Amino acid sequence: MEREKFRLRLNLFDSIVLVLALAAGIFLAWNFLGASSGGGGDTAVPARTVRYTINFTRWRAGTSSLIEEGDLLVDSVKNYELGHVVSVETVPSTTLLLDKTNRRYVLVTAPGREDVRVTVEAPCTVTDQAITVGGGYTIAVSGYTYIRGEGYMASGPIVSIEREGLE
Amino acid sequence: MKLIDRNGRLFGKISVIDVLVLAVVAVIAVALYVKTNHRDITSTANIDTPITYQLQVEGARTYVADALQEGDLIYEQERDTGGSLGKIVDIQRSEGTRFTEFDDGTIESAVPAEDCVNLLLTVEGKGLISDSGYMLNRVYSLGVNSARTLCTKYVNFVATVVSIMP
Repeated sequence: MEREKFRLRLNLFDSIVLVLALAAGIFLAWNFLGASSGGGGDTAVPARTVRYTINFTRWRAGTSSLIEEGDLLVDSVKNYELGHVVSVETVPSTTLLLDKTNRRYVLVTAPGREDVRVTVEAPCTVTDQAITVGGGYTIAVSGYTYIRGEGYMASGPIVSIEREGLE
Repeated sequence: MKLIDRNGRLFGKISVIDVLVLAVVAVIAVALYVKTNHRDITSTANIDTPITYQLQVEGARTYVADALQEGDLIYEQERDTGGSLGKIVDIQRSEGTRFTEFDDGTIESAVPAEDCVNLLLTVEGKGLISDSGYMLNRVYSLGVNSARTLCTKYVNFVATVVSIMP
């Protein structure tokens, strides 16, 4: 017995439904995949380069020599690339502590330890509200970072961001 | 005539499945229309009343204070602010202090802090003023004594609203 040849038959209502469903799908896809509307007038600017400085806190004295210009730093939590090292400066490691006797906060030097001011350069995306590097890591002064370098680990706050070229 | 015939057609004319799909598509279309036009309606409302307020930043490290400059726009990280909360128009610096509780059961509100700075930021924003208070950008409630974690493009900081001057 021969099988009947398959024929696609659409009645009027099926046709209307199909057209409407396709139109809705195209509209939703266009909105979802198109430029983000954003809130409050944010406008993303094409990728630029940012220079910022991270304070690696309380490293053992003498170990800052492990850090070399050109090292790639990566966020150790979510693996965002934070940029490449452009300069390294070692300073005494200090901590703000409460002196309960004299009732004041004082900056205290930690013996045997050093802070390392590492300046990093990275491609970034700039909006009115934030600067992001590595495709999604927002940088801001006072933001605490957890870093994996080339053979070393570090943590500490971002202490400065150069504004040149970002305004 | 039966409501649904043996072929699943409503009144023998249109498939029940087709009716359901049409209904879903219609709901989606209406929702998109309302969402799109709702923004247009609110955008024509007057939200341009200037609101000037002051923020106090207490005991911030010097490198944090240095990252705040006049002209920077302020946002809050954790809430929908409807855009910028305003522009910093003035910054006053003074010696840094911190509110501190001591183990001897005493509290001091202004303990001197080395390498720290107190800041008084004057911010100009826009919003609504009503009997119930101040709303920046129509969505962000502003009130004296509210402490928030705020940010600019360059820095995160904690500040308290200390005065509002409409």
